[in-house]
Amino acid sequence: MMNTDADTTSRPAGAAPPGAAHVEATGVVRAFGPVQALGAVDLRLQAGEFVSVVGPSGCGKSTLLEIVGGLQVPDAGTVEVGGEKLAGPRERTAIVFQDSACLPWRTVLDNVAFPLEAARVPRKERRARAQELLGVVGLAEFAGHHPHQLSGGMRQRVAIARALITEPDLILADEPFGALDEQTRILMAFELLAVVERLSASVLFITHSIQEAVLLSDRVLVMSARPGRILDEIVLDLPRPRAQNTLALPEAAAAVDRIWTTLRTEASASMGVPR
Amino acid sequence: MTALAEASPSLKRRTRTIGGRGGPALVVAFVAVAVWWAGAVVADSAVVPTPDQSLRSLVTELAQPSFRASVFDTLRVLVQSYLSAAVVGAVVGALLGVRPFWSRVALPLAYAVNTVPKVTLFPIFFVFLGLGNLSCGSFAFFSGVLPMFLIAAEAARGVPQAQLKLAASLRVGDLRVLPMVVWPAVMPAVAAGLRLTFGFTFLGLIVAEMFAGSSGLGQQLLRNVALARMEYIAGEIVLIALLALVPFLLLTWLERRISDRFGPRPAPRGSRP
Repeated sequence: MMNTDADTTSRPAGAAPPGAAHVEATGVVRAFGPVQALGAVDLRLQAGEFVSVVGPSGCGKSTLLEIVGGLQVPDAGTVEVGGEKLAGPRERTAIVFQDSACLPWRTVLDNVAFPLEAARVPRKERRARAQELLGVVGLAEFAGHHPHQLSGGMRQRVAIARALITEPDLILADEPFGALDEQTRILMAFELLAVVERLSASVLFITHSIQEAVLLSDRVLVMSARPGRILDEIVLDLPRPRAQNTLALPEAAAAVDRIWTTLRTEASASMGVPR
Repeated sequence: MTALAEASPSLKRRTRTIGGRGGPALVVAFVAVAVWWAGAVVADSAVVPTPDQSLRSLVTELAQPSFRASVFDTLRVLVQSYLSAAVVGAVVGALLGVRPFWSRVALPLAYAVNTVPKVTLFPIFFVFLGLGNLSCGSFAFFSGVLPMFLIAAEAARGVPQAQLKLAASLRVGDLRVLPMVVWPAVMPAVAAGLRLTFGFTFLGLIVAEMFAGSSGLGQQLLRNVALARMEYIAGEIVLIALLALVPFLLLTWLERRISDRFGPRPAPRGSRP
């Protein structure tokens, strides 16, 4: 995750240097009719930082992610990415959805190449790049398959390869492993971490899993029940590279406990259970 | 037996496919003709002609230039009205279906009109367009376009939000999202709609020709009804069924091809790693 000087000099123009604020959301408010989804959220994401957001169901986590991704416009507040005010989806922001959003009529290779097709990159070039990325996520031999021929975990790897093909500097992941079994989920999480570290991209990661958030992140933000606000921020000074036994460290266990303590009250509130 | 055993695998596969897919339908058709024949023999009545009497009457009619002109008229108007209903219904339906506001405005109205038995609206076509192919073709178009529109609109509404969000996140504009995401996603439903629309269009045309046709199979049918020529009526029904059968088989084949190409499919056994 740490960038060397050489990394910094090779960073594409417009990208924030490590440590600088890459995403800065201030006073973001969003309502859907009478339902107040987000209530004045401030969010700061440094370049190359991995930040997870946990919170009870319906607290506005995905709404926050879509606002940062430029898919939704906040009712109030501002969002800046890479020092520029956000006015819609950015070229170098990639989103990984909970549903892999694979297009069933396209082969795995064409699914991965889809963002480059959208950017009108010539066919030969985009297919070569997609093939390369399929190698990175271990799906090179499945290039000609269709999504229905893959397992759920493999489809999510396709989604990750698709997100990486534009070499994003910001990855927004909306519970990308939510539908996977525990073993696949852990393996996928480490796989994501490895490719993200190679890219030095910033990551905003929405998850329901406290352990997953602690295992992967530099910081964890805990949101309140609707209307969503940031209740707590946990900075994780855990050694990298992370491994499964990272969770056995006393600092990690303390972080899990602290997040759960905050979250339990909010989750009870969102379910209508007395606190 | 030996020859069959030595046949190439592809020939054997093809033989199995024909037997598997078309076999039951052929058996049902054979049984239906046998029942018709037996019923006609048992009834021994002028109002129940045998299949061979009906076919002989049909051959007699086909020998007449005026009847052949009627058949060609029906086919010409059917092709025109079907193609226009399919294209207009699919395009307008898909365009409207992806826009939530216009879906909410137009779909309840379209469903309401669709629940009205269409034949009751034919007098409107007749009054405004008069006797002949124009009113018949327009009514056939109307009979087909509404179901096609509803099918395409519902399919477009059902395009997964995640796919549309993916396209939006990649800054794919409204015009490009149609060929890149919406069209491929609605293709299986539209293919099924093409088959259904053909039936509705053909039905609308025959009914319209019975009311207001100056030629056409519907008009010929009504003429024979007026003359109580049962074997001719039965012969024309057989002809109409055969005319409908060929496009139906083609459209069914097309639907299967499109579903295989564009539709989500269950994983074949053992294919999933």
